[in-house]
Amino acid sequence: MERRVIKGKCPQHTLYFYNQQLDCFVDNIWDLLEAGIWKEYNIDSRLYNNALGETKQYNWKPVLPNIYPIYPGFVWNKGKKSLEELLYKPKFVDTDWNKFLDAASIFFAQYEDKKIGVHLSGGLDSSIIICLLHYLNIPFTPIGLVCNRFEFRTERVIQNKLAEYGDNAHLIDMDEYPFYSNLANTPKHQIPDSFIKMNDADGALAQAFANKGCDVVFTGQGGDTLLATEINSDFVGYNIQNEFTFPWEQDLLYGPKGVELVSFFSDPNIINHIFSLRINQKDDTLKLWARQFFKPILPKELSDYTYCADFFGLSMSGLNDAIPSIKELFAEAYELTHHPIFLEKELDNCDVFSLQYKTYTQLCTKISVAVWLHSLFRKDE
Amino acid sequence: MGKSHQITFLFLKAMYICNPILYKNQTYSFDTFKGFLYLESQLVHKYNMNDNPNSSDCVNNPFLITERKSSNISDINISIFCKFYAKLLVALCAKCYPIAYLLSYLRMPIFPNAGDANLAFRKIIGGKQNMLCLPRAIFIATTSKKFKKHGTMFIGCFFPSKNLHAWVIEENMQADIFDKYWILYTPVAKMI
Repeated sequence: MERRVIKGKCPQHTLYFYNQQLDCFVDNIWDLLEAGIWKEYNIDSRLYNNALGETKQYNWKPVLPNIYPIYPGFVWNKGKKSLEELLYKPKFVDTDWNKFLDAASIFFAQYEDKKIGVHLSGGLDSSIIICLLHYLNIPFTPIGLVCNRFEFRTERVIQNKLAEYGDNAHLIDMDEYPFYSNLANTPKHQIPDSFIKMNDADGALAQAFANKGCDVVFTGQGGDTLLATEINSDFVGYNIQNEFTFPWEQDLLYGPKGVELVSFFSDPNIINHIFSLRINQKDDTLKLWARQFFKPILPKELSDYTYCADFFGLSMSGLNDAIPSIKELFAEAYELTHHPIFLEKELDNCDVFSLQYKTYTQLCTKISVAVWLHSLFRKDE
Repeated sequence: MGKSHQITFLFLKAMYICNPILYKNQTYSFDTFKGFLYLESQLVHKYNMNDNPNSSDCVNNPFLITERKSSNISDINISIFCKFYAKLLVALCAKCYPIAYLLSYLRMPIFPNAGDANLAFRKIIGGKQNMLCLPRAIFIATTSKKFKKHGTMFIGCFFPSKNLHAWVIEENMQADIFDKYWILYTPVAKMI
């Protein structure tokens, strides 16, 4: 008996679609998925798109016939029949430390009637937000995922330190939510997504903010772009919605719990100030400029040191532990699609650490498709 | 004899400490003579990462590391012997590690500190040196005047892979100012 797609309950507000056959835009494609369009999902095009990367979505091949997902930060160009980037070109403003603080105060004032939460990751970007709130005496609740791996010991020091800056801080043990865990319970979604890797951990984080009654949660997303990339005469702008936000998390993890997820660094005024302060700077992967500029409010562990943990061990460890469940998902995906890619045996006797990068990224794509297919047919309570 | 007579070859009480480390039901043991990392399922005589005798205070808490004020690389004087020695170590670590291991017991007080020894090695070999951490660490340990009293050479593993890295900490300072990866590696052996 053919299995039936069961429609998802969480709307993906940040995603919409262009239906080329009807020449119209639609909010979702659940009706089409229920009608069976999932059978025509082009996995090979998806592999191609993944290899190109998230920042080159305008060159992606279509994965569904006549249906084009319009991702955050992009619009559909009917003439060119392709996606176009929405770029924000920052304005140069006269700024310094005090003027930046004023800009930050204006940003935070938008949320003065709301209970504020902040990601407490131990990294520089979210720590800047925490230290600004602390400096401006704005109450907030810091919550973060704590990784007990050796290479994350510097993050733990900072998390423990900055937890005291806020109220009712909460640290969640990541050992309980490793990467690639609980894939079978990933929320229903309309097209495969690479964010499934950390869905379990991010879901626990979102739930923790909701449990504390937070109305809005600030993240440091976009800090890597704004604080580290080169600003030269060829600079064309930032794709805020693509690089500075977490659409998956907002739509499927935070939104359903009534929590708004906001990136501090996505605010155009904040972008203008930091752009103006960093103008003509080269690539700054260690964020030395930011550590110096924010030194008056940062702990010395962040201003004087450039330590940064690597997620490789965490990813590979989680992937290794999830192999049995991934094999089950692949078996189901083959049963549904009969695509030979799900019969490949690269997970048998697999040492994930010996995988070439290209093989690893292809594996991640396959996992995302298998998880998507499983979620479409899953009965949720 | 030139400068060579100033080099004193000392075979001092250098010592390797290698205790097996338990990670997720596997024991990781480093064989210092062969330069191999062994994995065993047997859980005998092991330590976990929180109680690691191969480590040290400043490795466990990198915020205890103080910033090294480096000399200018162009001011580092390098003898013909040092050039030969550095290149020999690179070749031995690649082709015949046990001899490099034996050489690591030498103490030749040539450079004032580990930082200068590191710059000398980098200047001699040149280019990208991502895969030369071990010969560089041995060079530093055996040629820094301060290493005997104030230095430790670490060999670490990035669990659960078998990727290894070597580095030197001397007087609570990382010898190599260009090494940003050492904090990712859990010590599986150290030499003092």
